[in-house]
Amino acid sequence: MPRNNAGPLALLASVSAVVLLVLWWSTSSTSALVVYCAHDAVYSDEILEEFERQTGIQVEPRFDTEATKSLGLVQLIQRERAHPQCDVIWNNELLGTLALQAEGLLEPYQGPGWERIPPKFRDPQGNWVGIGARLRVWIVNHRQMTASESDIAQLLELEPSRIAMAQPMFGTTLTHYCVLAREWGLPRLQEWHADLRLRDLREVPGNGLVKDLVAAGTCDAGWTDTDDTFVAKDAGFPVDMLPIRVSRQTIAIPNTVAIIRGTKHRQEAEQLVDFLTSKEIELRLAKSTARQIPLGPTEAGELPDDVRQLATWASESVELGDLLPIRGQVLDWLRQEYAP
Amino acid sequence: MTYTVAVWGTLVRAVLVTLAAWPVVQNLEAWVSSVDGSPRRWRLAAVLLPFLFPELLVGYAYAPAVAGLPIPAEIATKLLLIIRIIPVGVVARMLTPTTLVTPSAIHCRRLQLRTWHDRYQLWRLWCLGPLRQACPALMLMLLVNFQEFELAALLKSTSWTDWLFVQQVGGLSLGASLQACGLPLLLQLAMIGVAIVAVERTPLVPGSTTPGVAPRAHSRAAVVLLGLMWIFGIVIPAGVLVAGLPTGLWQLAGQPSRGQGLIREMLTGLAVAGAAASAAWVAAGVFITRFRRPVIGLVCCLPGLLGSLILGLALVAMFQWPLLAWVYATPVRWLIGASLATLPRAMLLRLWLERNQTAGLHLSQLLSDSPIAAQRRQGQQLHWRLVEQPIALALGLLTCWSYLDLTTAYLLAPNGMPSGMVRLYNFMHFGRTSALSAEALVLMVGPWGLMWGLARLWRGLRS
Repeated sequence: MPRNNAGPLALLASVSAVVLLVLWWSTSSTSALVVYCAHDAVYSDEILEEFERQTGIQVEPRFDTEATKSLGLVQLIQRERAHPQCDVIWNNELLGTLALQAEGLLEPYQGPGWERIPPKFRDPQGNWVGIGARLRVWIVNHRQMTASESDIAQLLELEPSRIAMAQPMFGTTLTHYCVLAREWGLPRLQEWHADLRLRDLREVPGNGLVKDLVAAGTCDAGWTDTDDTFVAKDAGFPVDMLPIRVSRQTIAIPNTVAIIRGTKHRQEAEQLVDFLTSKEIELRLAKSTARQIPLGPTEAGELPDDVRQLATWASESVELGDLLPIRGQVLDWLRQEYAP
Repeated sequence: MTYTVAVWGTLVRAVLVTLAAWPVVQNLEAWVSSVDGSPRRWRLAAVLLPFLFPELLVGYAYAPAVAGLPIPAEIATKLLLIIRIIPVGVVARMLTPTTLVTPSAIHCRRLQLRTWHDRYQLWRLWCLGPLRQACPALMLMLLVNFQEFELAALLKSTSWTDWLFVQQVGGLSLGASLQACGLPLLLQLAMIGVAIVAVERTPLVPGSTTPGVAPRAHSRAAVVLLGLMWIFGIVIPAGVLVAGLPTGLWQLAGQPSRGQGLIREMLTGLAVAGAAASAAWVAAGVFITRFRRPVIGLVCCLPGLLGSLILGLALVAMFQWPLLAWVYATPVRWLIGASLATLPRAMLLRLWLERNQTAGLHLSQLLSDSPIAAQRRQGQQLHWRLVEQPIALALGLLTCWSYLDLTTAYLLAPNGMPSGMVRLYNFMHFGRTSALSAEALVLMVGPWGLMWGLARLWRGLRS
């Protein structure tokens, strides 16, 4: 080859290598607390920065993506079990955390935050503790229909093609399906699901898209979470919500916080868990755009009006702590359904 | 949909998309090559931009309209893939040397079609000439199409990569996933094999360095086609973000730490992509020039042909082994993953650049060694045009591919060194358009600025 052919290559390789080395050198701190965070970066980033400011403990968060929401980080912890990289997981749902607990990948900790959260939303041994929950709700475009149980039942019966749902293998829709499987039995859920799909129910990749479709009026209603619905409401879209009820109970899905077994920063991890499960952080999450519902006790008047209503609904929630065995069955079935 | 159907469905779509895009590729390549100097660079940039616009944002823009509706989703995926594959084809065509079978030769043969044997001869001439010449570019386009993941996943259209993703979520083991990759691997190997055979067996002459002449009607068609590509591939997806841009930039300006974090993430992604592209380029060169055995190259391409998801998961598992665990928390596994993912495309690009070693290069060397300054300058210019510019173009393309790859970055980046693409995806969840707009702008325009700076630096160093 003629000389100087390697010019552009040498330039690209050397500049890339130098930049990469500098960046790595400046981040390779062994003292940083590694947090795998499935809660949206928009909200959690500020909270983790606040923790850094208050304690001086450096935090390295690793966020999830919408595509792999929550399951991605849980699976990563499972795959890293031989050499754990994560110190604390801040999951945005419960089932994945329960899977980690079942595999013995969590370390129990009963701190002041664990004490203040009701037993329904924490592990008795302290393997995990729930904070700021979301509710599964019907999001309804009120220009096209009213947010009433009778209208929604009629829509489900007559025109499911006007209803949107996230693919049930992921996130909170999976939890929703697990609850349905427990309450109805798997065969009835399978029949119901097949019937809706046959009648062109609109299945989309995520809850955010369900919200977009209903907000735009492309669909009249859909299953999603309260945080998505509030994003649409705040943006001025004509949407209302109605809690989804299964056997008359609502579905409140908490964020969960847990310490990973094998952490080299146990003390700092406990400090972070205490911080995240504190009343201040629950209130902060409640006042954020996501309107997460505090699970611990709060004073009257501390909560925004719309969250107070949600808190009442959340108190009527089904128990989620025993869903893990059903999750396996539901996932097996859905895997066969969507990717046989 | 079963896995077999998903694999063959993806292949059929890839073939249709590639064939549909090919006439546009030819037209646009002629349009770009019909001018020289600065206009050529601008035209090439205009053609490349729809490819460089993040796929995530394109999928994000169209998903509300088609996701959950199988037929519209499939049509939208095909159309968007055509738009995104055309720039790849144009670059591939520009890198491809000219065939010895000229259009005049085919025309002359066509003038004397009296018997079936004559028609057979014409067909044979066409296969040996234009088809064989087009083969590597077509195979690269086919390969890129077949490996498509994010757009198909966002629009919920048929794709073997999305099928594997769903299975992973459902708990499929890594071993079973690797087994499932057998058929797609074979198909991709066949694509690369066809390209290698075509390149190896075709007597080629170097591409023309002087601008060709594009008929006015062709130029008009090229401009219209490019306009359509821009509208559907950039303007509409960007339109979703533009409304929030001023607020987003204002917020970003008011949060210096966030801005710094974003630039850091962009630099991290770009540095890994650049290093991976360089490593893949060097490795491809070793396989092609030193071993001279395509089989070895093909075997080394296997990990990259598994797709980013399975490759990433396999590397996560591999770097848990005690012997390798000490590098788990470093960027090494990300670098390896990105290099392996890029290697098959690097092999194809390098293969036909290596074949372009001709008398023109010898002349450029002679001129560069001349004692006369003007001749030396001309020699350097010729060398830039014949050798360095195609390499820079190929490396730029590989770097972009690697930079925009979300899955590898998500799975393999060490803690504390996230890529900007992962953050961008995270923000999509809530449709935070102001934040998303500003970040998308930085993550898209930043790399362009840096690459332009590098190109200027290189030209400056040489002159």
